[in-house]
Amino acid sequence: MITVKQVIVAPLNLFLKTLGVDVLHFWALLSAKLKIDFRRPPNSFQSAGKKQTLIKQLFIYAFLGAMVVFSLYRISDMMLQFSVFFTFLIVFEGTILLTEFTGVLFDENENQILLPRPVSSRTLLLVRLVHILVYMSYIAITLSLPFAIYLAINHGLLSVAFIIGVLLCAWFTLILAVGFYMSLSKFVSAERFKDVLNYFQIALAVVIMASYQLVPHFMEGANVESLMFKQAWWAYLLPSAWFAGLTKVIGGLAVSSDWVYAATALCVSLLGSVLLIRKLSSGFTSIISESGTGIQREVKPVEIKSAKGWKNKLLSILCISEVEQTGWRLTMSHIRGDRKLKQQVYPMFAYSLIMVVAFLKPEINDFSAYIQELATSSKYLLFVLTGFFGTLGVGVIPFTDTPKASWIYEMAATNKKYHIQSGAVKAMLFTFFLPLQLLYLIPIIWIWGFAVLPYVFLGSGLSVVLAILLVRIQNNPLPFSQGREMVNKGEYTLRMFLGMLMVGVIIGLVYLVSLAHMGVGIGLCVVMPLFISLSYRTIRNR
Amino acid sequence: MNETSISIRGLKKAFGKGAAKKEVLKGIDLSINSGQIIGYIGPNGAGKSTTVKILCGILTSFEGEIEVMGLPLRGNDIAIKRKIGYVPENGALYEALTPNEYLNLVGTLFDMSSEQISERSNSLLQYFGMEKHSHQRMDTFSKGMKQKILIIAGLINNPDILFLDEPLSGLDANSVILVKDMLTRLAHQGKTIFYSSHLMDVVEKISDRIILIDDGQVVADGTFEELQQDSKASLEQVFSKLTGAENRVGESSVIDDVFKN
Repeated sequence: MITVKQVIVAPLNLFLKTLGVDVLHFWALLSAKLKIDFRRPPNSFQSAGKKQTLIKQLFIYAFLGAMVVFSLYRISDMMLQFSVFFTFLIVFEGTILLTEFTGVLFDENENQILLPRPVSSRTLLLVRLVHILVYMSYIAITLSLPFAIYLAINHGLLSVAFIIGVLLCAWFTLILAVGFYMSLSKFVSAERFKDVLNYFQIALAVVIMASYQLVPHFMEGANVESLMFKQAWWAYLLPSAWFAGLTKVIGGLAVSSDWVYAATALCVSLLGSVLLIRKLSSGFTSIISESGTGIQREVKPVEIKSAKGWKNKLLSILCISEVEQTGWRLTMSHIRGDRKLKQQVYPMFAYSLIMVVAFLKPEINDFSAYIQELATSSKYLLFVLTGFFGTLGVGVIPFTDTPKASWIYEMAATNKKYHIQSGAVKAMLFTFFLPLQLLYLIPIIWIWGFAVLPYVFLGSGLSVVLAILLVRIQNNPLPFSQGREMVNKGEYTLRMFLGMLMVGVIIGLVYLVSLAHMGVGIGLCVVMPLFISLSYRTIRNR
Repeated sequence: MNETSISIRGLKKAFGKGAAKKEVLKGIDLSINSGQIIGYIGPNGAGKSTTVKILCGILTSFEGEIEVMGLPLRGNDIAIKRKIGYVPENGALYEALTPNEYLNLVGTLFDMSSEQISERSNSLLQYFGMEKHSHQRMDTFSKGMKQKILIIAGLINNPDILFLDEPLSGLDANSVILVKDMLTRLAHQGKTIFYSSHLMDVVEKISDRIILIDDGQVVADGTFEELQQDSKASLEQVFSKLTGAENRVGESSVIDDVFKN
């Protein structure tokens, strides 16, 4: 008797064979990986249950999805509605992929388990991709759920077609990014690949965010209710339009052009998979193999004991104890040497810069008039808003590939254990937040002059306070004490979006202060170091 | 019994490029016959593990020619991997799985039937006294218990060549005896044992041939008696002499300086 499982799995297996993947190996490895993901380590210092973490995350994603629905329901043209949503989805999933799953894809921790076994590169690559896809699909479906409910209420079974489109879109985003990575590996040696990847991630982040800016152009200067999807030649090049067309075709609402979009979505996803797995996977094993043992880098020794040198003097000013300085140094060493940490944090610079440009919408044609107009506005606060991206590195401090080394916290003969955490937060903000703020001072002073600086400093200070308090409120574990687990993936990106929402409130407060007498702003700036210091104390006194 | 199972010619391996380039293997030539136990020894950083990782397909880029069971390693890695077993030094396990689940996974990757996997893993788990732990998750295991599972996983496919990289790490004395006995029996069956270690007493006792590498080059190759060169020296003394370590012992007062009160 043929079971439902067989009906679903049989065509999938056929597709896997077409890709040149060993079906038995594939399922064995995938099921083992998923089993591992959902088993809580019984002897770790992990505080929250994995299922609980995942459910909490998914709930917040659904909330974000609901906010998107609020902006979509006013659009009457279904094609445009879907296109906007799929653009949002591709950007969101692309962001998660870049910041959180790239490390998983090229993880070398399993090298000694898998590489001596007769598993093909194609199988290894596809297992990793599908493993990532499982989590990306969780996120994609939860983000899409509010819109699917909205569709179910208004259009019935179209919601099912929409969910199919969402899943295929998640797969497309994955193979698009990984296709880029693997093509890149053709030109870069396996040893250097991960270093180059760091820079490439930032570039890719720019491309994704920049493409995101196409959406507002659809809507520019128009009444949202009356906006219609523009059937131009370039629309056929937009992935979001392909999946919008596909959804309409599956939902039985297609017009002629939708068939072209749908066919493109299917062809690109299927042919992209074949190309990626059959032609580009050969370099995959080389990458994980050669980067696993790594280049012997010359690491500059960190001078610990000497009180001389500007770095140590700065440390003694910024940190209140030797233990806090240790936390700082520990974090700086990780920032220098931990590629996965870099892969998560560095794209944030790009996001911040792009968001500034996106919000300010510079007019190139009449730039001087544009700057003059800008100088009369309060848009300098947008720099504060996007500057918050520089604080997000704080969220990755607890994670490492070697959490077992955290036994040292249990053994350390000190009652200042959490000074290490406050030192780590300071190091992270010093490395990633401060340079961004200094960079932004240049255009701010150039356009708005020195008069707005108190408000900029106030906004930046409040962003720092928020970042510190979030560490305390969320009870973040001690630095580098937790493994980078799959079920936690997606949380970093989530923090980014939630953080942006909270900084919105800060911007509102600073704007109100800017309406009052300037002395109020200056006064608040003067007391800001006290607030920051008190915030750090909440971490140290845990 | 005298067929060549591993042939290595001009094996070189470097990590990094330019100023950061570090040559780990500087031209290794070896011919190893079936049924031999090869003791592959050398100081830390000599290139032992790198050689093993290249032979097992963990490292894929290298210079030189390698043939395993008559097949060139390049282009035949999957076919060769079917015939070899690998026991790493430490922790290369999915620790959230139970031994049964892990061995089942490894066996599946060798295309073994579930009956074959079950039969062989049960026998080996019993041999190492691990049968009562077969349904417990390995993240609760001691280092020695994990090492036993690594050894069993390395043997599950009944390999023609077994590569062991410090396999006795964390094992108790009884288990060490079991492993030594097992390796001798496997060699008698015609399997090639490539045993990389710095535990001289074990290498001295079980190896048919000892290869000593230092700084990426073979500095001695022969039976223990040949390496002794008519002296009564232990392998440890031979090792110290050939790698220049004997000059350093006793000369340094670092320890006294560091720990003086």
